[in-house]
Amino acid sequence: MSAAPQVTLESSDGEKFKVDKEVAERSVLIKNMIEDVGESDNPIPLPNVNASVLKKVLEYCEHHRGDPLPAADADPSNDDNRKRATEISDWDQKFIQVDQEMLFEIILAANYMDIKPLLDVGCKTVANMIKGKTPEEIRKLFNIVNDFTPEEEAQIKKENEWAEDR
Amino acid sequence: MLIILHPRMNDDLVPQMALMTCNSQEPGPAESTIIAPPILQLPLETLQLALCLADPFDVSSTSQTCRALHDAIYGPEGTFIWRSLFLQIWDDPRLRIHLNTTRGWHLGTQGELDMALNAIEFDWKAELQKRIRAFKMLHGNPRVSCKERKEVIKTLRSVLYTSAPAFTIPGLEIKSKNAIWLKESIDSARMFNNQSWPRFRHPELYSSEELPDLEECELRSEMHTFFSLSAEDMTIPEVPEPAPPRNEDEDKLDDRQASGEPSNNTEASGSSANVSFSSSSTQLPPTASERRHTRSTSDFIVQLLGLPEISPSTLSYTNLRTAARAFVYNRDNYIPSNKYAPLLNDLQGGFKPYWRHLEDLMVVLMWDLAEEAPHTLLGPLLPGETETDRAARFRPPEDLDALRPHSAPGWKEQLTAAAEWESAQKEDAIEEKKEKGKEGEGKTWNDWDDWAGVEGRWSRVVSFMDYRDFARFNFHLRGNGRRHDISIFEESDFMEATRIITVELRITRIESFSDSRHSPAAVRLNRPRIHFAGKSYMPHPHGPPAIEMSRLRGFVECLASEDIRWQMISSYGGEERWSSEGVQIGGVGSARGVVGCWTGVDHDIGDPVGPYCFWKVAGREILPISDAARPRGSFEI
Repeated sequence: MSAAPQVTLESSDGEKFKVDKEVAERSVLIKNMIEDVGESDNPIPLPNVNASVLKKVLEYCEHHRGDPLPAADADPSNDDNRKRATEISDWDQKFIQVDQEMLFEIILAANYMDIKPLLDVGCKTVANMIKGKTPEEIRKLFNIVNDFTPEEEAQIKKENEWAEDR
Repeated sequence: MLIILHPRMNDDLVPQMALMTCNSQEPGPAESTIIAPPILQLPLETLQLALCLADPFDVSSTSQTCRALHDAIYGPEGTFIWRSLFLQIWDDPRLRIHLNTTRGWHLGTQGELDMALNAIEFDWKAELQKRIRAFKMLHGNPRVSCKERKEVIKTLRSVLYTSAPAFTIPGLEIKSKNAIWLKESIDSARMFNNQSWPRFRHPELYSSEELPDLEECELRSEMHTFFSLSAEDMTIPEVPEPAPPRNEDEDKLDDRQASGEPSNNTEASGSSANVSFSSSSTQLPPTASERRHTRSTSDFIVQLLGLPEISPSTLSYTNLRTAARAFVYNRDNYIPSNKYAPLLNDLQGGFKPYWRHLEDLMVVLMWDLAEEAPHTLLGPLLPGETETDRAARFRPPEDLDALRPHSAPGWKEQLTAAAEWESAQKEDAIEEKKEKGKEGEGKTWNDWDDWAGVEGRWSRVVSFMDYRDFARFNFHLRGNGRRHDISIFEESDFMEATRIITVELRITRIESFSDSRHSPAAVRLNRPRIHFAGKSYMPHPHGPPAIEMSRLRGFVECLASEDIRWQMISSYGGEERWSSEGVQIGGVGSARGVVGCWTGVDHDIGDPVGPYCFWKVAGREILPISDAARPRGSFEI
């Protein structure tokens, strides 16, 4: 066992996870909470993340524990800081091979726990999923119901003429 | 309608759900229970973040799936996505907009730059769609109207004109995405070559809507000048079978054949055919009645633009090099109203580049250089020069990156020095030190003032015809109708001579806006006329590395069109002999440099003319110490 300081996280369904502080602090939310309340033995509650998702998220944090942290003030819209959708490392790619529901859960959790690299992996995966697909194929993929009226549909087709026949 | 929310939904989802509830006003599937699909349970910002990483085409497809996603993309919140998609493909166009207000450079911090950029409104969605439409048309049906083609060329042109400067903040060099995108989008720059464009060779197969007009020819010439002479340009193009005409064109075509109208390409086959070298010759009206009509229109344009007098065109296509030489060496194309320069006098009284002329000057020079051996022309190394430096004096950099502002050598040092000067000024102001000329008596300007990047070493390539050929072409062989006989350029022993001259320039004086007349653009962009002087050296293969050849004086100014004009006068033995006029190709301080023409200083009718180009090879730190030690402003010849 390592002598590194540890913290306990508690999922929405009450399961407790004891992890190295360094691993937990990949989450900016947790890092800030620890800084605010100081070290304590009380578990940190994560009411928006259930056990199965938290387990998955912690697996990611464990694997990336040594990575340099992204600059805190990095502007997400600053595109020089962002990589194109195709660039996901082999490990991450394998990690994110989960069913759709879990994928979106992970994205939600990464967003809530403020783990930017994980959020990016999730977003890139979604971007790759829709790559080259028609609107109908995207609807099928995500189980989306077409709720446009025929008039709206005609108007939207016109609005998107610029991208037709790519 | 009931919407079952996901059990772990958090507050972030509220706006998303509001959006969906809104949609429920329309009749949905009767009595159904819609379970929001997992993707729509993502917070809006997260969904947008994912879309930012997608392809614009994929974003378009996604917007057509349902209302919620449509509104997330096309609604006001979607601006973020369009901006992000745009910036993944192209440079931030606001950089050039901002730098236009600050004399082309930004001397502050990155944070200050970001603030300035964020204050600029830009329609990311419209511009992205315009560029993608242009990309698609480049690869789509070639039979489109002139109007549509002009839209495409203008869009590609705007991509070039919005490429990022080589430096955004001093010392920080950035790569340009625009050059990469253009290279990927344009299979062949030959599409800009007016001479090899199929429509010029088979005008009878096209409708009048499809035929290019004068504006399109100018746009093509401008783009071709930017893309420079390609290997493809230099191969003799085989005349491709034109695309089958549209059905509605067939009647017209039949009429023409029935009337026995000669087709233009038979005439073109004779190399000694007479030709007019005016812009209007590119219009090639196919029938007599249309020709009359077009002529009167183009005569009108010619009058407006102050072009040389034109004669009817009888030749639709000729070898690119022959056509370019014939225009460049035609004495009639150098007239006072154009300042004997590759310029056009605009209706507003300002001047703008005449791209057709510049294209031909470029073609002649680049073709000549392609046939020359660098070592014969360059001579031995200059003092302090490396092999690489010497090679850089042979040919201007021709890639699209060389068109970016501040891409020429010496800018890195100059911008850094200017930034230091600027911050020193600020400190002085704070400490209320008002010492003038603290860095030397004669220092009347600083790096900040040399907005054109004048000071330093330049290479100048000049081509000329044997004067006997020149006189024969311009004066002796002209028959009826004052037409030129271009066969001279296709004689087997026809030759031009090409020389490379090294020029070192220093600023002598900078005008102030109050003392003299400047174009409105010069005032707006804060670019006053800069006067300079220098010496030129001609390498000698067997002698000392460089022999001082002539003295130069000249100026650089900002035209009404915002383009940059260079004028130079060279003197030999104290007597002024030649005058050169040129236009900067690309942005201010571009590595590509200047393309132009030279004539006699008095513009006598018998004076020869020819092409030259001129580009910077080293910043002012290369100038001889004896000169550099002199206080600036005292350097005169």
